[in-house]
Amino acid sequence: MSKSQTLVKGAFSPQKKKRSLPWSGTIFWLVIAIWMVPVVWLILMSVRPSVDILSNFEVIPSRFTFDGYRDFILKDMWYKAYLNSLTYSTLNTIFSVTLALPAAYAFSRFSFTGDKHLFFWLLTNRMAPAAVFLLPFYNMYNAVGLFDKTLGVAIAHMLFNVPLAVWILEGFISGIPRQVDETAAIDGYSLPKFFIKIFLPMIRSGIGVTAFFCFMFSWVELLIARTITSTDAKPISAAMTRTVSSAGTDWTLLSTAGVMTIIPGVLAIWFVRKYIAKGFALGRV
Amino acid sequence: MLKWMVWTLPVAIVFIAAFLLIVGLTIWGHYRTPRIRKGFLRITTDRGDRVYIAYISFAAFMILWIALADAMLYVGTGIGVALAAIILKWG
Amino acid sequence: MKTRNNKAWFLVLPVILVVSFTALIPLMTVANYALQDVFSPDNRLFVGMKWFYDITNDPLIIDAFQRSFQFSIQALLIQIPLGIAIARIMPKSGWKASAALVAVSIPLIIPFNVIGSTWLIFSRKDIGLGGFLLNKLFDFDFTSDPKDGWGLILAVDVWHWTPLVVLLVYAGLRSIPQAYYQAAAIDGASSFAVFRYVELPKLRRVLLIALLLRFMDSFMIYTEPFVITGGGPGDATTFASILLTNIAVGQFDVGRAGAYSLIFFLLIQIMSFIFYTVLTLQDREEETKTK
Repeated sequence: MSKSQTLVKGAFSPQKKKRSLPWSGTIFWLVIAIWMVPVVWLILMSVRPSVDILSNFEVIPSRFTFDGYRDFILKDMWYKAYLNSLTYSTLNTIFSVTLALPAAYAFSRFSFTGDKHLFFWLLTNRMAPAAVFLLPFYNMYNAVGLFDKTLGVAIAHMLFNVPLAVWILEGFISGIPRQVDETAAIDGYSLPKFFIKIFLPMIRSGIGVTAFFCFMFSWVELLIARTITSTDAKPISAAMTRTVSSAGTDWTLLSTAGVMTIIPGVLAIWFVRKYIAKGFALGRV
Repeated sequence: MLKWMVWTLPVAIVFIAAFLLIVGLTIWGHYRTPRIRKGFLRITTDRGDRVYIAYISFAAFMILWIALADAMLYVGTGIGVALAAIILKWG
Repeated sequence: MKTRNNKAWFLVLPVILVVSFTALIPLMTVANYALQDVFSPDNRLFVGMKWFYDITNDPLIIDAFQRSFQFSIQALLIQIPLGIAIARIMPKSGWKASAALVAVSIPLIIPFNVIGSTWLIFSRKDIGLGGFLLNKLFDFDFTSDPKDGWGLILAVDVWHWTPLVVLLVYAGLRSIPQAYYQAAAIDGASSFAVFRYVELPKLRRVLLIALLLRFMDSFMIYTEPFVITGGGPGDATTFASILLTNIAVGQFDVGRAGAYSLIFFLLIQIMSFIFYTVLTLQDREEETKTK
């Protein structure tokens, strides 16, 4: 048997190489290089003086400045907005994942009356356009006293993040064989004890990925966060769009803010790279 | 507390009816598990699916009716209800 | 098979309560808005279906929906083939594969408004690299030419979201056993034949997911056109979400925004239903195959 296997390998590995074009690797990295041009442009803008950005067209900057980064850290408006965004994204992630875990487990392991319809209902909320909810959100968060609070934004973002978390986690949990649950039940574990002691450690990568996506989608969202905040809880994205529309934009500072908002994602992405497709596909890949 | 929701009677009736419908279907489904079948829609549906499809179709039809026919809302409603009934029965 | 246990309801209950609070209550409110002329909570007038007649006969709104629809179709036509092409040439093993995954994912994790403001400067014909080159070549100016404005938003969407298609297709390709390729090699299949008869059938599921997710999100696009073109030039890039946001929180035209929202929501319901049906249809087929 092993002989025939080596035979097959030896016979077909040259054929296999023919499958992809010889230059495909180079072409791929070329595409990536082109794709990264706007990002590089953003980074370059963040270290050029605002006057230069607006007056001269130059690919290689002639003058450098780190004023943008200094201002970003020192100016109240910017670092506060940044902290606001970090706060509500983190809160939202904690809430969403905690709520979604038992629900995802239930959807994955049990069938109950109306389960499929509930699962679908969750999806429709993930898909719902934020624009539809703006007016009621504005009035609702005013009425319950959560307007312009980071907690309010964290709760509002659960609209799409809880369904997202349930769907992704359900995908991960369904990848764990049911025998695990059954064995634990025979060994005398109660459901909560089993869940915390055995099950959570088993799906920790799934939880990490879900947390990453909840954080990301809360972090990049602009429309809802902007609508239900004004000054105290203003998110970084709103701070940025407000400067764009006003006259005399400080493009250096704005680009710096842009670079700073990319950093959390880039830091985290390495750890979730294997599952990123699964996360974006709502756990369905 | 609820003042900001500016309630109107028709909306209240629609949502209470929808709520009762869902509760009713849940209780019914608990005692008699719905049979899954394939109708003229060519997809396998159970009772709840058909109710949902009928509901959505009715709403979509009403929007189209309002967009295309200027008046005769009652006629449109009648046709819409008939459409929903057909989906419920044979969908 | 899953165990039947209605106690599982208690595990789901918290999620239902929270999502009801964040989704159902606003939806009820929107429905209330749609039937009234609201001046303030105390001063309002019941107007029946007036706003619905208004909305469905308003050329501005119909145009905006058509624009969103066209935009989504065009975005798909570019992103799906491009995504497949890039995924096929992605490195498949070693550190290169990891690096490629991270590089491809970067556009997906940039906040929408940062993408907007970056491209805004990048595409300016006087000071931006992309805009400068395109202006020299094709007389490109997205601030005055509606076609260029549209093209720019489309390009931004392609730049932003093609990586999603790449990631999904890549994940799909990785799940194809090597034996399939070997069998194709024995038959002396061409590269195209391998794609057509080996890869494409296996990719059906991920492609469907990519197709539907991309369609939905392009259909609701808001932030990029808001930042880059502000819906212009003229109203060339005034998509459904942009117009709705203008009516709702720009003009505070509560009644019209309510009716508009309900119609928008209905459209999304229909599309979600198609999405879900297609997904579960696949599951059921696979289940029957394995049995």
